[in-house]
Amino acid sequence: MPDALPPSHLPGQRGGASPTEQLNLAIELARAQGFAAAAPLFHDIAARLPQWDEVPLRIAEAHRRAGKSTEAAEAYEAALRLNPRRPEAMLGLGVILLQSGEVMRAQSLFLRCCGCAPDLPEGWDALGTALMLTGDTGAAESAFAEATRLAPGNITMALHRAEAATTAGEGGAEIVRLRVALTGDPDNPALLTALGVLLEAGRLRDEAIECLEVAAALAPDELTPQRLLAMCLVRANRVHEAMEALDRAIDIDPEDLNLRNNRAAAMIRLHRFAEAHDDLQALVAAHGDQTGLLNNLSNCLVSLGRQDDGIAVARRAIAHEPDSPLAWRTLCNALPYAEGIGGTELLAAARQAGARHPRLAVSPWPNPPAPERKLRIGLLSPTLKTHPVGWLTVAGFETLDPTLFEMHCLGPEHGDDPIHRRFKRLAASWTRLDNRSPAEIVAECRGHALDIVIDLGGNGDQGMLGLCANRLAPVQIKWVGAQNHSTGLAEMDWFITDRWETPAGFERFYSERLLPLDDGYVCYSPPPYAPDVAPLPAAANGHITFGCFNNLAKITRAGIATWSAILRRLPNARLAIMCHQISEAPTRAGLLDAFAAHRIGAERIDLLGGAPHGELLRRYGRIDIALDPFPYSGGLTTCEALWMGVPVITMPGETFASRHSASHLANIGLDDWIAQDLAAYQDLAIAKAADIVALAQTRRGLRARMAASPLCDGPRFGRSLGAALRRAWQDWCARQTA
Amino acid sequence: MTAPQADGKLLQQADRFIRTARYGAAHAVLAALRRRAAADPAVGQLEARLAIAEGRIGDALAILDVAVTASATSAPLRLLRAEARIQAGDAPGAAVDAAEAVILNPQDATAKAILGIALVDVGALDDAIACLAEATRGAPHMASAWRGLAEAHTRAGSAEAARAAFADGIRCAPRDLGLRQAAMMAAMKQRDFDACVTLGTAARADGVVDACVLGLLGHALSKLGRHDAASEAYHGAFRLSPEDPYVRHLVAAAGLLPGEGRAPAEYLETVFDGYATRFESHLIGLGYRVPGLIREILVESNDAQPAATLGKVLELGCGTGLIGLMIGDLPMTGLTGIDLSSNMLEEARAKSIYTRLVHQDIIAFLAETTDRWDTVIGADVLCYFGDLGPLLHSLRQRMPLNGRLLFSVEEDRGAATGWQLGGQGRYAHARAYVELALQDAGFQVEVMRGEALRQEAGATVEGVLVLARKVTADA
Repeated sequence: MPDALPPSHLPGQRGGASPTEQLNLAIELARAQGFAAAAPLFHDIAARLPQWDEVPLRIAEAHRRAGKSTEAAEAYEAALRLNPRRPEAMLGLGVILLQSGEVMRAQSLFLRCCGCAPDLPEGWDALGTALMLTGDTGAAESAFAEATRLAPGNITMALHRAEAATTAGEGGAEIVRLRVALTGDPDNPALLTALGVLLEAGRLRDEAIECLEVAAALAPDELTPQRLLAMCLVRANRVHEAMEALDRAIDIDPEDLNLRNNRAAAMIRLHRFAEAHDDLQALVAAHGDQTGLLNNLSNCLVSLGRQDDGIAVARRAIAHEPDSPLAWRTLCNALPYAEGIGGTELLAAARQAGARHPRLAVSPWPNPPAPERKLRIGLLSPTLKTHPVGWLTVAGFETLDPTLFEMHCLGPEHGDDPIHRRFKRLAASWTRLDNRSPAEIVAECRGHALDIVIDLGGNGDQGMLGLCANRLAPVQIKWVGAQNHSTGLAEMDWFITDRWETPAGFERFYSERLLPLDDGYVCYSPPPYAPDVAPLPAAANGHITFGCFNNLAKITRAGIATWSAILRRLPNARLAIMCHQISEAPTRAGLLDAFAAHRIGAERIDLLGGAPHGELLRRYGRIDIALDPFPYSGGLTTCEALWMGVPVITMPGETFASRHSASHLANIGLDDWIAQDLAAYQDLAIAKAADIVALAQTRRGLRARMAASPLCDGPRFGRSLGAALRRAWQDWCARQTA
Repeated sequence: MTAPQADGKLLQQADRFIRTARYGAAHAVLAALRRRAAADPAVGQLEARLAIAEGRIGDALAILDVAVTASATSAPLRLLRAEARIQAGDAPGAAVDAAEAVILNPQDATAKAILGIALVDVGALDDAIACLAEATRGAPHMASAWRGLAEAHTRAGSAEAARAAFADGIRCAPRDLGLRQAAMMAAMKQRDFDACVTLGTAARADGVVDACVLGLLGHALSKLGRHDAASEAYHGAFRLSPEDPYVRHLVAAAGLLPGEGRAPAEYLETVFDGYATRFESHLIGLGYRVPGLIREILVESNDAQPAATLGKVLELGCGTGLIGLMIGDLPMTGLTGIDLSSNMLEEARAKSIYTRLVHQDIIAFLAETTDRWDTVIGADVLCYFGDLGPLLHSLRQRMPLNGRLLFSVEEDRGAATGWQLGGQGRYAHARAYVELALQDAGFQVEVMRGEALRQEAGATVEGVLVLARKVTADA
């Protein structure tokens, strides 16, 4: 609707200010001060010119802007009584009718509109929208086609047409049409945007991104291409680029909450925690509690080592939306880091979360229950790449007997990542699951006729545990990937573990049946670029350097108190802490303050920010003894410390997450580095630090010892994993024939 | 009136897309730029860069010829055309363009480097060395100049100077993978395996992460008999390049991955292509006996039926044609050789013994061909198959009843049956397995005798020589 009156509608001047000028004044007044302020003027003009259809039309527009649909509809109807062929009135009234669910009436108005004003693209676009709602996608597509013919540069209309084509099952044909259209009109951002959306729906995401990038470059002031590009990049895990696109989109529309929340999430993934925290706090303050915001804020707080605050925010999310799976998932992600968390409490929260996943009706399994046949194994994970899931599982899958197991990966792809390529190499198929409805995803997964699905993502970032509530295979198993404790999911049948992670009696902490492997529950695949083990630094330094290279989320107040006590007992010793969060000044200062509160000066603490992986490993050359955090112990980090010759002191508890280091140490025969309580943890640190000769000896032999141990023995692990999977399968077969 | 200028932001965007190898997007932006400002030379330059990046050198040259004519004093256009001409194999033309660019901008080290590289290609080695040395002084971090300098020294016959150029280059551009790889390849070519190991170890210590470097390190270690360390290097290479069938097969051979039923074709092609020119001397050095033994058995077998000839003969994995040399005088109606290595086949072709030479994988060839052979020979080729079943079944379909199959396998004496992938990437078979596989495929063993096949790393490789006849008629 034009802001000022077009000349074609100007009535004759009747002395003083013209009616046109008066009407413009009323419109401005309504905009600036609300309809009530302008009402007398509107009514005065209407009284003076009762046949002028422009007046009720403008009154309708003013009402609509004020959100008063009923009044707006009445005014539109009044305009149409005066001029039954006025297209703007038909369009405006039709839209209100659509919003109130009167689709057929709206549709007939739009049809009239198109008849009266066949050159008005908005009319055809509105007609297409109404037809979509009545399910007549073929006719809708034709209407959108006319709209885009009349307004070839209109991005919204182009997207409507693409959506209609997709709904009609003609997405492929529309892609071809758009490509052809682009050859004649190569710098049309509308065509490119629509093509990008369709390509992503057709799982050609890289090409989709290219289209959207070009569209965004050609129309730098348009929000839609920027927003679509940003979200597509987020889904592609191209976070740095997504961040740039999100920034550009937010520049165009600073009020878009969804964009800003996504930007905060992207910042978290880029380890810009302090910034993300400030943004999220501001968003919550401005917009109130919203589960999506609180989820990101909770994750952010935990990542900053503020575990209690993170848990409190998660509980706020639950209070805000008690049945939201996301709210409960947020709590389940925060709780394992909480000081003093026990197995029972964590299981209870996990069960609550598990119960809230939506469930679809499922059909019986056609899988032949033959105990010895070759099995189709699905790996459900967002992180089959260079990530703890990759480092700790890929060697096991690679060494499974290919005549007995066939692997099918379910999750996003990660381009050129070397561990991802190892998964690609071993997988018989790869199915990307995003950008579709859960029902479609479940149907697709079930279409693979998998015998066993292994969840390797849990409730973690982009984890897809909720899909397992719908049973993707007759046997479902939880393994690495936010495997901090039981999933609490009734449909999760088994939980891969080992005798150190879940000693006898621990079954009560798990909703799943435990599936212990012969040795450790993971197989570490050391990076080929790991530097050689450096000599014991204490030998040259004359003092012990303790270290912890774990995520700050794992460093609790109790941990800081314990490490401080150790440092007080060894006045020459130092502690090096390394994590991404430390790169941010406020976090660094907060951490030093925490130690200062325990009478440990900043001069004894080395704070190191994040580093590329090779450099991270090299930094173990400065560390004599690693101190494991609690209650969430190091997993991959412990393996890396050991590979770099640095033994780890740990204190396992009840939860699965608290026992990773104990498992790895026991698996390589370093049981004497495991403490049973806090006092023993401190004493062990003091005792180990006192024997430099023994430390040097342990360090020298540690890599070879580890390489020869079951922790790194891929073929041995593969046999054990294969046997466990077979046991789980045979159990299912036995139940079918029982 | 001046031609419209292209939108600077769009030009930057197109440049970014080309630099980050997003060529589809670059095409789209360039199409838009063409529409808006086709005459802007900056658009032409980007189009040429895109064409070079995509390997469309002809297109690039066509664009650049027009652009250079229009802007003869543009050094960037000259350099771009020099780059395209080098890729088109037009080294003299490239040298002219690069020289022009140097004249236009005497301080430009890149121009000097491109000129040097072009001069290497035209054989003006002294000038090339001078030019490249100047380029490395002007831009010590430019790895391509160091690589070119080393290449120039190598071609000039100065291995020592080439080594020094590599060492200096690695010191100045330590993150450049190409330089590390080239230095290691040069050492391998000179059969200086110790130097290659030193370079590979230094690369690892410097934090270089590259499958090719680790693969070359493994190869050099293997040549030095340090098999455990070689396995570790291969395993590292596999982790970085899991799709590489060559590395994967060697890692499987070390027992670190499940073995497959045969050595991948790509593995064999890589091994034997690199091996072709010194294959025969190498085998002779190893006391290779199989060709002689094959001849012996064929003669014995023909003596039993004096009127018989070998008929049509197919040799599987004929390599450089050693078997052909050994049996070429026996009565036969044609000798076909098949091998995966084109370099090996070149050597065989030079012997003018074979009536036909086929460059293909054996299994693929047997699946496609409709020919039949009376005698099939496989000397030291079945050791690249673990599971013999598919091969033997395919062969039976291509042989007449009573057709002769003569082959060697390495023997797995420790096993009662089955086959085992060994550390050298070859399979060894139990005799009982071979017998069973032949029987299953419709062959009957006529001769099966143990033989020392050759020496390897000071030990005898024990094998079995088998003569079998097809005894089951085709269904």
